[in-house]
Parts: sequence; structure tokens; C-alpha cells
Amino acid sequence: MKIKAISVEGFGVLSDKKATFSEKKINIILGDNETGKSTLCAAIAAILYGFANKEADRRRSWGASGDYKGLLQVGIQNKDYIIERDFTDNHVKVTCGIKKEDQEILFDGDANPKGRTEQPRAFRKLLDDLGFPPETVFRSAVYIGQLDLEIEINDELRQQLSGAGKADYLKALEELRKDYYSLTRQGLPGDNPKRVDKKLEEARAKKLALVDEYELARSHSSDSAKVEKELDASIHHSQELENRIIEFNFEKKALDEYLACLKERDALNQRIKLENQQKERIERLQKSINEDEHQLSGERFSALNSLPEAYLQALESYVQSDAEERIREIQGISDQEKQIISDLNDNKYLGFSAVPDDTGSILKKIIEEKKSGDDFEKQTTVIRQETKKLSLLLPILLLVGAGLLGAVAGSILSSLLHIRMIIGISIGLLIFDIITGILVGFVLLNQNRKLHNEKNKRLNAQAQLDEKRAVFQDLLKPIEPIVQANNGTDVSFEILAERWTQYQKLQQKLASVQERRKVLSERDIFKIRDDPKLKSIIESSPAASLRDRLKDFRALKTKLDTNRENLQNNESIPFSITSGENPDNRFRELVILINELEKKHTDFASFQTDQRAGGLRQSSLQKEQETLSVDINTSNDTIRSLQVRQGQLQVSFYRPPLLIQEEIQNVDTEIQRVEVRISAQKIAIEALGEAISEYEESHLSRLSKWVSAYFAKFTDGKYEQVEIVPGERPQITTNKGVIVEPELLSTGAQDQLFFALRLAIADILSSELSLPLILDDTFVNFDEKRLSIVHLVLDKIIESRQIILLSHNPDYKDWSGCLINI
Amino acid sequence: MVKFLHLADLHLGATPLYLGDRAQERSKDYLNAFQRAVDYAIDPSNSIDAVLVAGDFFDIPNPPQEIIRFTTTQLKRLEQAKIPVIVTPGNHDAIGAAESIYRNSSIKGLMKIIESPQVEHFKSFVFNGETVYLYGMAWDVQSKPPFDTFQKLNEDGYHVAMIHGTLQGGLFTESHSREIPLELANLAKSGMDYIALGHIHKYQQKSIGKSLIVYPGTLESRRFTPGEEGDRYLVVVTLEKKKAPKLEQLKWNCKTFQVEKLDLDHETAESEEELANLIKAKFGSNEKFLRLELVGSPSFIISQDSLATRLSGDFYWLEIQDNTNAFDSVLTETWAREETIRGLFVRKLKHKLEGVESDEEKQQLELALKLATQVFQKTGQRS
Repeated sequence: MKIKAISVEGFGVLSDKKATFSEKKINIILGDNETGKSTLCAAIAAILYGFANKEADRRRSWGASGDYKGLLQVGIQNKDYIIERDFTDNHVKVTCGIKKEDQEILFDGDANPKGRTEQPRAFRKLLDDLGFPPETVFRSAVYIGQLDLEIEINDELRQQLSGAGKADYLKALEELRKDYYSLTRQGLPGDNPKRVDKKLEEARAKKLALVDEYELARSHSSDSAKVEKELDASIHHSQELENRIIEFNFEKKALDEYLACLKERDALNQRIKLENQQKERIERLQKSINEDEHQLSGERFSALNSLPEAYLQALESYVQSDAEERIREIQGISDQEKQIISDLNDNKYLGFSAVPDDTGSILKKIIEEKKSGDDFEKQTTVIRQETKKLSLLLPILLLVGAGLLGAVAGSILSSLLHIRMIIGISIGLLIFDIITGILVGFVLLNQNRKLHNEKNKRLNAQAQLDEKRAVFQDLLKPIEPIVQANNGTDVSFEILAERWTQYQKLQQKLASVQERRKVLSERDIFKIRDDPKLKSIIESSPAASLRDRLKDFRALKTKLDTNRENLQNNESIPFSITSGENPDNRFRELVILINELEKKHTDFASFQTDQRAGGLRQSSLQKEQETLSVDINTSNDTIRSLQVRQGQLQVSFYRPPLLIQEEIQNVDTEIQRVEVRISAQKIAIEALGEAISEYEESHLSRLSKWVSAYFAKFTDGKYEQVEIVPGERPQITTNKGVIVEPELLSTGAQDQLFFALRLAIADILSSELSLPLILDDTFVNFDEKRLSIVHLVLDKIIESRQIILLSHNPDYKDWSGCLINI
Repeated sequence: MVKFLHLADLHLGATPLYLGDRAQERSKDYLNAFQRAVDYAIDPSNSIDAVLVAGDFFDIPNPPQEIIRFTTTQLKRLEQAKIPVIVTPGNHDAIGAAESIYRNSSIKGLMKIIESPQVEHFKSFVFNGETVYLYGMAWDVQSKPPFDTFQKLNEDGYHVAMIHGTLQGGLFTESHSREIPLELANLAKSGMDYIALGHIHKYQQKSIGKSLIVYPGTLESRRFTPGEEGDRYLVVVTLEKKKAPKLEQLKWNCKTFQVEKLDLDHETAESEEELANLIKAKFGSNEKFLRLELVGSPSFIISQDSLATRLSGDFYWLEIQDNTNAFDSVLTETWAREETIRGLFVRKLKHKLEGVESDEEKQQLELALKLATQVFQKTGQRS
């Protein structure tokens, strides 16, 4: 690595400074104090690594307000890189290449040295990749200032020396060990195995558990087999019996199946027949339906077919009601009605219509009253006549009678007494006349009293008769129209009454006829007859014909509906349609099965024709089985315990060995993987451990060797050997073999010792990429002789490393180098 | 014409534990694949007559209740569609195992299970008026060889055999158990129209004589064993009179297993980030299980863990096998020239490598170098 040029702005005393450096000669920068030599050195580090905290402000040129930045051009392995840093915000741009057209920007962003974000990290990585050492190493091995030559081999430096800072090998070793411990409990030699993880151990334990499970699962299977063997041995007899039972079973099963097949085949056959019949029936039904439908749509029925059911029923009721007869009846009734009306209009019923309905009873009363009046009048007349007869006739009759009787009695007496007849007659007459006179007097008296009574009676009767006549007249009033109509005729009340009765009857008859006519007229048939939908049908043909038509239509309809219903009915549909199963296929399967069974059991074929024989064979097999079963039961008692054991074995919770095997394979793969890894890890740990110790040893001895060589050169062989031990001060051995502590050396010799150490360190770190050497008034304490030796050494070093020497001492002008003024 | 689905190795209920948190999610993929196959079967437009499962229907003989419930639902759907399901038990769901699902469960009635330990005629089915004679065997400890020699019935119709076994000379046989070895020549002698095999997880087909022998493979891959990578297929078989069986392969997997090798000598990736981008661009997919082997001598040292972390969001599952040669890398060679501890370390390992012959030791040394390099880089990064 070569620093080719630097330019800074606003950086301390260097407000705007540029410098270019030689790669092949020692760059000698001379200047008095405060001219900016150290500032230039600081600028190189600052451009690369930035400032720590407030250093940036401190380094800024006093009073400057312009740019504050630096640019470093370095050459690394034949490539030029430009690193530009703005110190105000730590923005850095790294480009590769000088010519603009070839330039490649490697980084452009924040490069804060304390930054933790992606950009600063990326910048640090870029520096690392380009071969720049960490800042601390830069400051100890690249930059060697004045008065601070002493250096301690700290951890970071040691790591750099042992691996160019690319990795922390102790940490790496620890990581490898940690990984190793995470895999196995077997510790590495000298380690405490208790703190370790145990992946391998876990995997192995898992495998062991799985193997155990597998063995158990397998032994469970083999146990079962063992028990089965024992069973086989101990029940050999039973086995035979069982075999026989199995044979029987086999035969029986086959026979059962065979007979079942036969049965099913026959049933299926039947079913197929039935189905065919049903198919035919359906076809017939369908045909009939088609015909019927055709017929219904024909001339005879089309009109009826289009009628709604209610109309059809109406039509039916119409044709069933014998409508024409009714119509004729109505006609007759009308005639009858006319006759009655004409009868009622006869003269003999004149006025009848104007009298009240109770005329009959009035007439009856009139007749009764009249008769009673007439009787009364007669009685009065009789009384009167009898009264007349009483006054004359009786006394006369009595006298005549008495005279006759006296004459007769006098004659009889004269004869008896032989007196003259005249005297006897006279005496008889006298006596009888006296008696008669007395009697006549009585009679007359009585007659007179009677007459008086009759007279009273007649007077009474007359009064009553008059009263009756008045009543009669009252009775006549309501029937006045009749009476008047018949006035002047000899029509008696009796006749009137009789006529009234006739009249009443006619009236009743008329009412009844009218009622009948009304009833007949009001019947539905007339409505039906007049319905516009039905009228044309009714009128189109006589009722009888229509009736037949309707009847036929109904029959046809019913037949059609029944057929349709039958067709729709599930049961009437063939099985193959409903079940979705093709009986033909099944039938063929059965036939095949039957043939197969017959081939295996030749005796079965005879059961085809005689299934009953098959049944008998079945039961005989059954019986034989039962007999064998009894024998087996006896044997089974002896082996039951074994079966219990077998049963116990069957109830297991083991997974199938196959699955366990698969898992074991997986675990095996894992174990194998871990084992390989463990071995690899172990190899890595051992090899790294070896490499570390070997390298530490080698690089320290190399460091010691190189330091010794430089120091011997600087002291002109006075000190032969320097031994570097990390963490301790270097041990110096003189050419006389005396070990000297560094503190005992002179200040100049101490400076030379540490300069030698730094050169050696830089040499080691430059093995991969040569680092420049910046010497800032490093040799203040060197005497002339030793300075000339240094000169020689530097002339040698310049062959592989760039050197920049800064000093206030003008003597350096005499050195062969490239003089740079600032 | 008879059309059926040929399934095998569904491994219902399998939980790929190596997937950790994703194991359950992946387990559901297997169930979904079967459910989709059922959807396909019951779709009337596909006219599927039957479903054949040639072994390893379930991952274990006695799967958990939820798997039984799920399968029951699916089988009921097929039953409703009048599609019979014929199953031959495999080595994973062996019928002879304790509490085998094929013997104890209510699900048994929804399948026609081949129980014979030897290959023989099992049942005949008539589909669309055509007869299919099915032969097969159940994987069982009692099964005895030969498994590939069996008698065909002298009947007209299609003859189909179902066996869960290993076809000698077939692909990927080394990664599967070989208890049921099958000779191609013997199978050919059986005169079957179609032999539905199961056990090998990769689709394969062979025609010999008039027989077509097919492994349908899984519907979803299970793990990185040979034959599990690439697409998976639903195999639809059509048998037609006087015609060779017709096969239809429908891509069925929702996730794909891929095994790749990336030779970094032929790639330009100068850093882990660039390598990650390269891998992402070449293979990245969230529906992919990728096993990537890195070989060659990259200019940087690969950290397998760190690379995997970078790519974790770009794959459903990623396994990186770093077989790069660290010793030949530019970085290692640069270091080897250094007079530093790491230079010395590298030289030491190189020296050891020269004296080593076994691959195992070479592998250890490679890894040792990589591990140390990673640690150097980690500890060397100063803030």
C-alpha cells in the first residue's frame, strides 16, 4: 500500500494543502515546529479513520468557515483508490481509479467512526477488505511518532499479528467448542463435561427408547406367535377338530352362499319376469292412456274434456234429473192450474173470492142457527096447536066417554038388579056423569094450568126466536157477497156450504199445483240448461244421448286417471328404474358365482333341481358342526388360559414396528449427521488449537527474531537477542549473554529497541500487504552513528515499504530521498 | 367397456413427523387427495365403475378414529354412487395385525376386502354387462411365495389382479421392503389383462405379453425416498374388448417433491445472498419440497443453516445438502497462502486431507473446514 497524495482543507495549520509522495524513495518532509508536519500525519489517519468525538473541532483551522475536508490517494496492488472525507459530517466517498471514465465508486456515505448503522459498518469493512489495519494498529505499526516509541503487545495487536485481524481466533475456538458441547457430553481433553449440552446423547437416548419400543412391539408380535405355537402344540387335537369345523364351515358357508345365490337367482328371475310383465303393463297402460287421450280429444268428448269438473257435475245432474219429463210435468201442472182457475171462476163460486176464509164455519153456524130457528118455530106452533086442543076436546071426550060408560054401566046394573032398563040407565048415567063431571073439572083445571104454562113458553120461544133471527142476520153479514150473488135463487145455505167446501178444495189444489210448478221451475236444471258453456252441449243432442256420452266420458276419464295413477305409482315401475341396479348384471354375477361354487363343490349341482335336498344338507352340516363343537369345547377348556394370555398380548399400546423402524431410521440419520458434525467439530477445534499455539509460537519467535535483528543492527551488535513475551516487557540479552531489563538501557537504546519492535511488527503485518511507514521525528534521541545505521535500514526497507519521514532537522536533506516542503 | 380407478399407497392417517409444525397440515393433504379421487369417481361424467386400492390404503393397521370416520364418509359416497371399492391390504395396513381395520371396524362393510394370503380368484363383478374377474392377495405374514404364479379362470371377460408387492427389476425397489417379490415373466404368464400393483410409490407401467402391469404411485409424496419426487397421478384404467387397456394419468398432487443438484462451478454466485437468489429463481415455489445438493467449489464458504434460513419462506420444505468442496474454494486457497492462524489452520486440514482415503473422513474434514470458516467469519466481523 502506498500513499500517493494527500490534500486537506481547513485542517489545523494546513488550511489548503496538497502533497504528493514518492513510492520508491524516502519522502522527507522538513519543517520547523508548528509548520504542520504532525498535522499532515494526523490528517492521513483522520481521512482513513475519522476523528474521535470532539477532536474534529479541535483540529479545524482557527477562524476558518470554509471547507473542512481531506483527500487521500492510495495505491493498493496496482490500483488507485481515492478516499475523500468531509470532517464536518464524516461523509466519505471512496472511488477506485483515477480517470473519471474508469472511476468506480466503492462507497459514498456516512463513515462516522462511532457509527453503528449499516453505512459506517460497510465503510469499515471496505477499509478492512482493502487491507488497512485497524486504527490502533495503524497508530502503532504505521505511524511512529516522536517520544512515544515504547509499545506494548496488546490483545488487538497480538490478534493482528497472528491473523491480520480477520478473526479473533480465541473467540473462534471458543465458538467451535461451544458448538461441540452443544452436540455431545463427551468433553474435550481438559474440559469440564458437566456444563455441556447433549444433542447426540439425546438423539442416542431417543434411539435407545425407540429401539426398546421396537423390540417390545416386535416381541409383542413374537410373543403372540409363541403363544400361538404353544396353543398349536397343546391343542393339536382341537386343531384337527377345528379344521374339520372349518371345512364344514367352509362347505356350509359355500352351501349357504350357493343356496342364497339360487334363491336370489330365482327371485331375481321372478323379478325380471315380473319386471318384464310390469314393463308390458306399463306399455299397455301407456298405450291405453294414449288411446284414451286420443279419444278424449276427439269430436265426441273434446267439448266435455275441456269442461271443468264443476260443470261436468252440473251437466251430469242435468242429464240424470230427467229434465224433459219435468218440463212435461210443469206443462201438465200449468194446464191443471188453468182448469182450476176456470173452475173457480164458475158462477156458482160468485162472490166466494170476496168472503173471509172462515166462510165455511160461518155457513155451518148459519145452517145450524137456521135449523134451530125453524125447530123453535115448529115447537112454538106445536105448543100453540096443543094449547088449542087442550081447551075443548078433553072435556068433551071425557063427557062422551062418561055418558057411554054410564049407559053401559046402567044397562049392566038394570040387568043385574032387574029394574027397568031406563032406571038402571038413568042411575048409571047419573053416577058416571057425576064422576065424569068431577074428572072433567080436574082436567079442565089442569088444562088451564098447562095452557097457561104453554102460553108462557110460547112467549119465551118467540122472544128467543127473534133473538136468533138477529144473530142469523149478523152471521149473514160477512158472506154478504155470496148471499147477494145467490139472491133470488133457491140455493140453500147447505149448498153454499157444500160449494164453499168445493171452492176451498179447488183453492188448495191450485195452491198445491202452483207450489209444485214453482218448485219444478226453480230447480238447477234450468240454470244448467241456460249456462252458456253447457247450453250448446245440451242442445246438441237429446238428453238420453248426452247421458250416454257423459257416462262414457266419465268411464274413459276414470280409466285414464287410474292408468295414469298406476303408471306413476312407484310399485308399478320396474325395479331397475327405482333401485338403480341392473338386475341383469346381478343375475349374470349370480350365474357366474353359482358356476364357480359348483366347480369347487361338485355335489352342489344336484341342489339346483332339488333345493330341499340342499336344505337337508345344510342342517346335517349344522348338526355335524354342533357335535364337533361340543368336542372342541372340552378341548378348549385346557387351552383357555393360553388364549387369555394371547388376549392380553393383543391389547397392546405399541405402535406398528414399521412406523417405529421409520422413526429409528430418521433418528439414525440425525445421529449420523451429528456424529459427522462432532467429528468435524473436533477436528476443527484440534486443528485450530494447534494452529493457534503453533502460530503464536512461530510469530512470537519470528517477532523476537526480527526485533533482535533490527536491535542488533541499531546497537551495532551490542545486544544480540530480544525475546518478546506477550504481556511482559521484552527481555534483552547482550552479546555477552547477559540479560538486561529494558529500563536499564539508555533512552536512545530504549527508543531503538521499540523502533526495532515497531519495524518488526510492521514487517509481520506487511506480509500480506505492505504498509507504509510514517516516521514523525522518531529519531530525536538517536546518536549520529545509530542514525546512520537507521538510514541504512530504511534504505533497505524502502524496497518493500513506502517511507514518509518528517522532521525539523535539516540534516535529513543529506539523505537520498525525495524532499517535500510544506 | 369397464372403467376404474387404480389407487395404491394412499397411507391415510400418515403424519410426516419430520415436518414438525407442518406435519398435521401435510397429513391432511393425503386425505384431500383421496377425497378428490372420490369426487372424480362419483362424477357421472367420468363413468367410473369401480375403485381398486392395491395396498397401504392406511398408514397403520389400526388407524385413529378420525381417519376411520373420514374414510367411512368417503366410502359411503362411493356406495351411494354404486361404485364398489375393492381393497387388498398392504404391509402398512396388514390384515393379520392386531386390531386390523379390515377385521374389526364397521368400515369393513363398505369395501370388498381381499383376505386370501395367496393370490387367487377373489370375486367377479359385472359392469355394464361385462364381467371382470378379480384376483388378488392380502399382504400377510402367512403369505408364502410364489406370489406371481396363479391360475386364471377360463372365462370370457376381463381378468384383473391386485397385488401389493415389489416388481423385480422395477424402479426404486431398493427403497421399499421386498417381502412380496414379483417376477415380471411369471406375472405375464398369468394372462391377466391388467395387474394393479401397489407398494412402490412412483408411477410405473410395463407391458408384457397381453398384460399391462401398473404401479400408480402415491397421490401425494411422503418423504425424500427415491421415487417420491415429481408429479403424482390419479390412474384411470379403461378396459375395452379386443383393445389394450387404456391408461389415463391425471396430475393429482398439490405439492411436489423435487431433488436437485446445483453445481456452483457452473453458476455465478459470489455470496450467500446471490446463491439464495439463484436457488429462489431456479426452484422457488411454496408448493415444493426441495432437497438441494450443492456441489462444486464456490468462492465463498456456504453456511447451510444460514442459507436455509434465507430461503425458508420460498419453499414449503427445503433441505440443503452442502457437498461443496471447501478446500478448493478461492477463499480457502487465499487463506492457505496467508501467514496467519487461519492460513496455518487451512494448511493443516489440507495436509490431513492428503493422507485420508475414506469418504467419511474427507466429509469430516470438509465439514471441519466449513465450520471453522463460518466461525472465523462470524467472530471476525467487528462492529
